[in-house]
Amino acid sequence: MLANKNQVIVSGLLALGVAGFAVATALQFNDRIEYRIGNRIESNPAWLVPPKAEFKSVERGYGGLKILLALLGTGGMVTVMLIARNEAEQEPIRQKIKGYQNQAYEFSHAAESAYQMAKTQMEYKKLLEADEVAFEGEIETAYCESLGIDPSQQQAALTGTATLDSATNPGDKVTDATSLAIEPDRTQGPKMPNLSKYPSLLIYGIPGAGKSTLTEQEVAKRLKEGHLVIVCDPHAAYGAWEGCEVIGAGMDYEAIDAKLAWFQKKIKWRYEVISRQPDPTFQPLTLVVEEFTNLSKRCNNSGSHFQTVNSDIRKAECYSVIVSHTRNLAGLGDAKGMGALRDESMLEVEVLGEYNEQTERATPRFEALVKMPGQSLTDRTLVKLAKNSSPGVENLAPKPMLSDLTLGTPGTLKIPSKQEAPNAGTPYGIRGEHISGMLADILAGTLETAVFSLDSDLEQDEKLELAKLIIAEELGLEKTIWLLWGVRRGGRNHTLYTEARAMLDRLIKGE
Amino acid sequence: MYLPEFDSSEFDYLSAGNSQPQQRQSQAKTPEITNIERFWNLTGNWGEFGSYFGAGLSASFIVRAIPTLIPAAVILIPASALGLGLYALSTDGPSKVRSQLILIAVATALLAANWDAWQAWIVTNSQLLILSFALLVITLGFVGTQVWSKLNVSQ
Repeated sequence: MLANKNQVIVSGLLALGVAGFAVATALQFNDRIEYRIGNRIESNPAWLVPPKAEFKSVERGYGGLKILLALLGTGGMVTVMLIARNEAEQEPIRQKIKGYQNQAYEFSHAAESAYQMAKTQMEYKKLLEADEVAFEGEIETAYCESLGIDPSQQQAALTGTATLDSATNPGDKVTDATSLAIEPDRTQGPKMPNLSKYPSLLIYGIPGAGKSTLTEQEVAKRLKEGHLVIVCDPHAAYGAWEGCEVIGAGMDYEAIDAKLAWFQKKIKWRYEVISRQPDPTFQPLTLVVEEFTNLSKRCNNSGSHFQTVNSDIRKAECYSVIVSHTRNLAGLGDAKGMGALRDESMLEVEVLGEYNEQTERATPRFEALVKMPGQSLTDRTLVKLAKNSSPGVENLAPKPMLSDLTLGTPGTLKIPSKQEAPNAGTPYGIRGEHISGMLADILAGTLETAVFSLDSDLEQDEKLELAKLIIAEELGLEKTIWLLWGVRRGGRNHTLYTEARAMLDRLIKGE
Repeated sequence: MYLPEFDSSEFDYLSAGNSQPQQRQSQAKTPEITNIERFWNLTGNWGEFGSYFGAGLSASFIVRAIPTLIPAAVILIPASALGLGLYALSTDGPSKVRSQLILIAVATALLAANWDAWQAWIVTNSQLLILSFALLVITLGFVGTQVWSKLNVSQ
C-alpha cells in the first residue's frame, strides 16, 4: 500500500528515464551509408566508407531524437533525485510525528481511562455518602432511644425561626382550621409544581409545620382529577380523608403493612397487563402513607414499598405520597442504601414551620422547600404556600365538622349555626361582656389557655356557655377541641384528644 | 548532516565506574529504518546516478551533433575525468563517493553514447586489435608462468 503519492511519481519518472536512456542509446546517431565493395555489401558512417566503395543507399540516423530523449531522461532523473532526497529528509519527521500521534492516542486513552476511574470513584463516593447518611440516621435513632424519646416522633430539623422549644410537643398537629383562621394570601414568586404529575412525592417537615394540611389539599386535588386515593394513616380520625379508602386507623399497622404489599402486587399486575395488552388504560391510583416515619420498625414492607414507589410505578399510573417527619433513610421505611434512589426519583417538599410564642408550639410558615427529582439539596426552591388553599384548588380536605355531627340529628342538642348567631358579641345564654370579650380573644388566638383548662379562671357555667359559642362558630372538630381543651390530634396527646372528642360529643348531645 | 550526533550521555557509564556500556544505550542509538525510507534512499541514489549518466549522454550526443566541439571535448573530457579522479582519491566521505559515482556514470555514458563509433573503430582496427591482444596474452602468459614456476621452486 502506498504511503505517499510521490512514490508513484518517482517510480514512473525513474522508469521513463531508464527507458529514454535505453532508446536514446540503442538508436544509431549518424547516417549510415550502405555500399558495395567487391562482392560485399557493408554499412558504415560516411567517414568510414572506403573511397572505392560503390554507393548503394543511405540509412538516416536519429541524432536529434537521441539528444531529445537523453535530455528528457536526464530531466526525469534529476526530478527523481530531488523528490526522493526531499522525501528522505521528510520521512523521519513524519515518523516522529506519527510516533507522537500514537503517544497522544495512548495518552488520550489513558486520560479516558482516568476519567472513567474518577467517575466510578465519584459514584462510589456518592454511595458512601448515602451510607453515611443512613448511618447518621441510625445514630440519631439510637441517641433518641437512649434518651427515652420515640425516634419516629423526633423533630428532623429546625428550620426558619423554629427553636428547640418549639418542638417540645412534637406530636402536635396543625389542622386546616388553623389556616382557615388566617386571611388568604396571594403568594408571589415561585409556585408549587403540579405535584400530581410526579409519581413519587415526599412531604416532610417538623411536627406542626403543616404537612397534613398540604397532603389533604393534594389528596383533594387528586380526587378531583379522578385518582383512586388510598390513605394509610395510623392516626386517622373518624370521618377523616373523605372520598378515600382509609387504612390503618387506630394504629393498625398490620393493615397498613398488608396494604403496602397489596400496592406492590397491584403495580405488578398492571405491568403484566401492560405486557399483554397493546395500550391499556388504568385509573390513576395514589397511595398516601401518613406517618411513614412510624412504619420503619412496624411494617415489614415499608422498605420494599419505598424502593418500589421510587422505581417501578410511573408507567403503571400509580402514584405515591409519603408523609414523614424526616427525609433521612432511617425514617423512610428503614430504606437504608437507597439515598441515591430517593435523591433521583422523589419530588421532596419540606414544609417549614416556625415557633409561635403565643401557643408555644410550631406553627406553619406557609412556605416549603421543593427539591425536584435529581436536584441537589442545596438548590431547593422556596415556594410560598397559600394560607387558605392553593389558587384554583378547592380546599376539599374532608374534615368532619360539628355541624355534620349535630345539626338536624334528632335527640341531640341544637347548637345554633353561625348564621343563626352571626354576632359573636351577642351570644345566647349568659350574654355578658366578659364572655363576649373572651370569645373574641379565643378566636383571635390571643387567649393562651383553653376553655376547660385547669388554669382557666372561668366559672363552670361560663365555660359551658363559652364552649357552646365556640361550637357554634363551626371551626372544625380539631380546632374546636383545641380551643376548648388545648389538645390536638396525634402525638403523645392523642389519648387526651380522644377523650376530649368524647367530651365534645357529650357536650353536643347536651350531657 | 551525515555526521552522527554526539551525545555525551552515552559515556555516562564511565563516570559511574562501570566500564561496560549498558545494552540500553547501544540499543537506543540503533536507527530503525523503515521500508519507505529505504525506498526514498534507493530511488534517490538511482536518480542521482541517472542524472550524471543523462548529463554525460546528452553532452556526448551534442558533441557528436556538432563536430566542431569534438576537439574541445577530446581535451576537456579527459582533463575533467583526470581532475575528478584525483579529487576522488584525495577526498573522503560523501564527496569521495559522489565523485566516484560521477566518474562511473559519465564513463558509462560515453561508452553508451558512442557505442556505434566504438563498434566501427573496433571493426576497422580489428586486425591490429587482434594482434595486440595476442601479443598481450603471449607476454602475460610467459611472464606469469615464469613467475609461478619460480615461486614453486622456492617453496
